Amino acid sequence: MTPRPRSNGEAHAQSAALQVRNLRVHYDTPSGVVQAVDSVSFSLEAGERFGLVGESGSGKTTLAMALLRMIKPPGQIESGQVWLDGQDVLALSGDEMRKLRLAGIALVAQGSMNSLNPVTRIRRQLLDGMKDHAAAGSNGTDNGTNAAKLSRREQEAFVHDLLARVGLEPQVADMYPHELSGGMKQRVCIAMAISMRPKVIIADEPTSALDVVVQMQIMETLRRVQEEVGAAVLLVGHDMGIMAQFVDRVGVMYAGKLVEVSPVRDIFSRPLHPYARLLIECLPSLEVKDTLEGIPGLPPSLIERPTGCLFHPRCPHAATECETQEQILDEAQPDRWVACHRLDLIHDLQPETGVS
Amino acid sequence: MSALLEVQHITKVFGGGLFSRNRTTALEDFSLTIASEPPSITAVVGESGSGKTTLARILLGLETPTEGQVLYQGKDLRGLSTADWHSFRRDVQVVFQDPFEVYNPFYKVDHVLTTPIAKFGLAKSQQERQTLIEEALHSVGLRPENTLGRRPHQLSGGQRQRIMVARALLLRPRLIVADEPVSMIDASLRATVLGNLRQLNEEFGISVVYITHDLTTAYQISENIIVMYSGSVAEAGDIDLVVKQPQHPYTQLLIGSVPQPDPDRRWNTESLAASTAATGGSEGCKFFTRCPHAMSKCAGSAPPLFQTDAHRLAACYLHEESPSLPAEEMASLFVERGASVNSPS
Repeated sequence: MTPRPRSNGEAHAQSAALQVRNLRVHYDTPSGVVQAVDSVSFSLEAGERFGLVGESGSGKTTLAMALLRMIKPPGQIESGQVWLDGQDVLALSGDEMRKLRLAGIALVAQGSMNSLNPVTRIRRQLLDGMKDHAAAGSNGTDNGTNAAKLSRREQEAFVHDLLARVGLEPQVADMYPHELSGGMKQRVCIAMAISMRPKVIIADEPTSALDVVVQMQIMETLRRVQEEVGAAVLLVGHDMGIMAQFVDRVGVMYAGKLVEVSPVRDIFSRPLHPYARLLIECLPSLEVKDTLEGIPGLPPSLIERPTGCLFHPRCPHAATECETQEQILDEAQPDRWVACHRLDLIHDLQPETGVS
Repeated sequence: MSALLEVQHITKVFGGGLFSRNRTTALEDFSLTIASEPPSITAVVGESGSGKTTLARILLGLETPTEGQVLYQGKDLRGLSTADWHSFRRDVQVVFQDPFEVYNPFYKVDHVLTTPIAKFGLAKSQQERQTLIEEALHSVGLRPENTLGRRPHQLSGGQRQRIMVARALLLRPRLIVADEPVSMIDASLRATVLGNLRQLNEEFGISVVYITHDLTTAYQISENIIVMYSGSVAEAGDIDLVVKQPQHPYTQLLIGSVPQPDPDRRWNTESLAASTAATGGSEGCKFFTRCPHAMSKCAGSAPPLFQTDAHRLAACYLHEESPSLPAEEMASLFVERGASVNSPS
């Protein structure tokens, strides 16, 4: 499903694995209020792979953390709704939220290979998360296995099964993180994320520190296990190449707002929002050597944001209305949501074949 | 012989003290010549642990090789006179990977620009100093009024990295060693920094050694490429040849793994079979355990460089019918700028 600001969240909560409506997150800093996420709406179907792209500071990681309710002060979820598999996430108590993490919504964090405990064997780390999140007195987590209630032999079988799913040998269970390569550690993190068969996995730049070969292996592993457990994936990153290879739909974030949400094939063949087009055009290719030009200008300050369309100071098509009026996501074509005043004009200028 | 900087048969071994068994060979019998004319851009590409950063540090004189020597204008770095050392320091500049760590947060960014001017006595007056700085900033597309007087945290990663390029440029070096200069900045800003490097090469005649794990950016700015695997050269030569028709199985794996920004061109998951980490035998080809074409011969002895084309070498027995070439002559096959560019469009 696509963001449908006018639709009723509760009605959709039934069909979507995750639905976000008008989510706003800000950080209260001494120099002013940073509006990191501004009225973001989108949803993930069960088993869907959704990519969230944007430059550093566009709010994509903040958005991901908000879905897990892991925003720390001075950050604050201001308003909006997050529905996970029919549950209103923002209305849950702290304890209920704790149960939901890992069991319902799991995270593979940026550089998460450095988030493993260095003095604990992998086996313990795989089981601990489950004990912690399932045994906290849950009854609604029939989708996961309750490690606390398993016999030792069952635990062992469970750990080996998890490791096998991510392509690791059973011996890894007895190892410490420092004995593993970066790619292997990231596999352990994926194993942990799927251990309770969550509905949604949030992967925040899961391969940003890894080589291309390892990166491909990790992304393929994530794709395989995600399909096996039927989880939806929200992939956060700035690498459009990985997005093209991995996701079904892409949401482009700019300065805290979603500016375009489109199926991956459409956005690469014909990006509609000017920012999405520039983002794709500045990608270096292995085919042709072309002029190396980035997107002109700099991302705006999130404290003193531009008026109107946030992209207008950098936009080659900006007009006066862009400076004064905000534009919300609107369905420009079936399944394609774009926030741009001058969409019709731009795409008259650019015929169908205009992507060079 | 007009070599600006030359490394000959260098080997670098880390660890391995008297009683230690843990020895890591970061570079093995590696040779490379960087000619003083014409200016070139050479990419060194490889995964983590392939020895590319060790190579950068040796080129910069920050690390001494265990075996072999580094020659600056024909003179061994270890025996340089103070005057020669001074000119080496000026001729060979660096842009490091992390645009955050190279700045001291207590100083304004001007500090990194004024220090080299003072150190090398480039300006006689304040006025001259200011002009130099402004010119350098303009050359990398930064506006001095938006840059000077700021603190590092007030600038974006891309801006900071461009200031580092401007700093290198101030000294009018003859070679810039850029070690992963864009891996920590956003894709949208990468193009600008890489464009700056290419511009320095074209306008000021500065050679660049571009060290990266990213084949796409390497392809965009370089004429020649050296693909490293586990401390040795796997394939080297004209970057168009290497990228379009890779001959070494490792290069093929690397290129197949690049995520193409095109959903209709899936990356080559067949190469996933050649999975786990690099644990090559000590005797034979280091890629042996991962190689889909491994033959018994490969385990025996490491393959030399075979010249498969006029401008390309591959260290693989699949090409043993081609003549082999001594490692130190590798750079003699490299294409010169302009010669490799087929058609600019």
